[in-house]
Amino acid sequence: MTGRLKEFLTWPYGIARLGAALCAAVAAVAVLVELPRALDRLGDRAEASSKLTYEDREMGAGLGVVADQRALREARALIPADGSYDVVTGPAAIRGATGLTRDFIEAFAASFLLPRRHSNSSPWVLCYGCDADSVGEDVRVVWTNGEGVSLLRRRA
Amino acid sequence: MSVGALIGLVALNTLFLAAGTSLVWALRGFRGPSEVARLAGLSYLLGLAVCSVLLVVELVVGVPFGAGLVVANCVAVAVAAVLATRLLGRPRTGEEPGPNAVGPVLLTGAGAALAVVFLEAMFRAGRLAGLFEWDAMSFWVPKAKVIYFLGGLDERLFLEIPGQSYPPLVPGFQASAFAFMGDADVVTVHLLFWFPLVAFVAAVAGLLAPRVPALLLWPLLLLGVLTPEVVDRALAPQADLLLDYFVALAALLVALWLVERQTYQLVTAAALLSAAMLTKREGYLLTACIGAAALIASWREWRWAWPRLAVALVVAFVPTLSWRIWFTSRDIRGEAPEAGGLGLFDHLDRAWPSLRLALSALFDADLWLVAAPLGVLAVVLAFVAGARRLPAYAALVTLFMVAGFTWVTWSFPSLPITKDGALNPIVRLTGSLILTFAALVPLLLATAWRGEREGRA
Repeated sequence: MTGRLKEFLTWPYGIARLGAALCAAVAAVAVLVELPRALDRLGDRAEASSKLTYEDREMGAGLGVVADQRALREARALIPADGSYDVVTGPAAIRGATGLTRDFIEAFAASFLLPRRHSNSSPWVLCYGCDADSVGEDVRVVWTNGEGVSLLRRRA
Repeated sequence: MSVGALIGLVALNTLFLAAGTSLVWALRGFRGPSEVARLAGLSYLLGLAVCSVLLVVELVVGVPFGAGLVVANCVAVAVAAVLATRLLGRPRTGEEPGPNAVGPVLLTGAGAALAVVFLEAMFRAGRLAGLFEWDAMSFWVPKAKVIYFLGGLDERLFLEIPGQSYPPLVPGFQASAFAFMGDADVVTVHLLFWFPLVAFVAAVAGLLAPRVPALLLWPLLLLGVLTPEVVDRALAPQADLLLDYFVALAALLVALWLVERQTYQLVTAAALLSAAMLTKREGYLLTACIGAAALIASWREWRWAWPRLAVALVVAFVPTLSWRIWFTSRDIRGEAPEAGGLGLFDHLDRAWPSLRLALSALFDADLWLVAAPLGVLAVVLAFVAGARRLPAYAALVTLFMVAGFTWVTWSFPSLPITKDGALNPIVRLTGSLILTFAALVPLLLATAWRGEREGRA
């Protein structure tokens, strides 16, 4: 036993071996401490995800942007896949809006509505707090939540 | 998420595994079914790398995208590997450590069991994960949708989406998953990134099992993948961790090549580095770090090593030209450092804070536990034990990567000196070195354990 210990304390090979063993021991302790924590965190995350609807999961980070996700879903259902859309924002009140809504709704819609493309001249308009009269002539409200978000159709 | 989507993901990743297994068979050969299984992680990541690089080149030249193209690529890679072996023969593979070096079955089993428990928990967490990652939602997934829905790199949309100069390997990977799932399922796509994570653990364990005692291998490998940052970000549909896997595995293969001189190790590393450069722009920086470290560490045998290293680096770089030509021909900017070539010297005041930030991110236990201190200690211990090439290489990789991370913050004056991931990429960057430690440190410790008596590694 003493011989074994002496072997571990000889320079340089014994010290290198001792160091390697200590590194492995530290790593093993760290793994045994961290693994349950990681499993807890992952379990919490799985539980939180399972409480969301598929729609919420798909919308993800967009939930903080879209105010009312029904508008984008209506747009995706009504606008043909090879069609286009425009996004117009305005100062009118939007229920559920956050500080991100007006700045990022166009970018989020660009991703969410793919393969539909953004076009300023599209007949389909996602209106976020906009004035429908300012969007164009002959504008028809296709869908609205009555709280600042609408899907409009204008003459192309 | 549907069972069909999951089956699609499994089918896609099985194709990558099959293509990669053919490549490893052609490059190295297998001594039996157990070796096919042991090297399955390496095979998968090699298959993914080669097929994905091929897909990027095809997208750039305008080949229409679809599930058929992905299948054709995997089949073509596998057939090419078989034909090349038939016509040219297999590169001579010398003796490698045999499976007897695996060590006590109980320890290996315990390490593997902990890995399985962790990976299963990751799978459960990713199964229903929402698309909450901002960069994923902002450009990685939209680019994948463009490729999937419109059949290629639609120029107008690619120019409208943020991160225009970011390479399209990850969008192509995700678009392939969409094609196999039958829908742009942005929820299930999180699980796509579970496969490379599993493969990385399997690849490092498979490569090192015959070379490193189980007691030194599993704790260090698991420590790397259990770090909070890896746990939190591994399944995000983004490029960061995939880049880290490619880089870390390539760094390990180059380390093995420096010691064992097996051709397949360098060839495989070149393929992984090529994929890394097409995964994120940082891939160029990290490839340069590994290449420079290998060149310096092999200076005693420069006549033998340097031409081979140079060829490997050129071969890795050439496929990335396709993407560079695509985006430079469209006048996309944003690649070069904000401060310009010599602009660094106009911002000398940022040099020290940038270095301090890089070191503080690397040694932050809340982010990476004790992975970095153990990495540094392992290099020192391998030197103490009398080894030279391997610890010199590992030390140089570490030094160059830290210098590279420092340079990123220094050369982009608009980046604040902070570890906040939304403002400065330093934490994401250091992940590459942490996973490189996860791969290299067991090898360094095994070298320290054996001592000089068993060869100057």
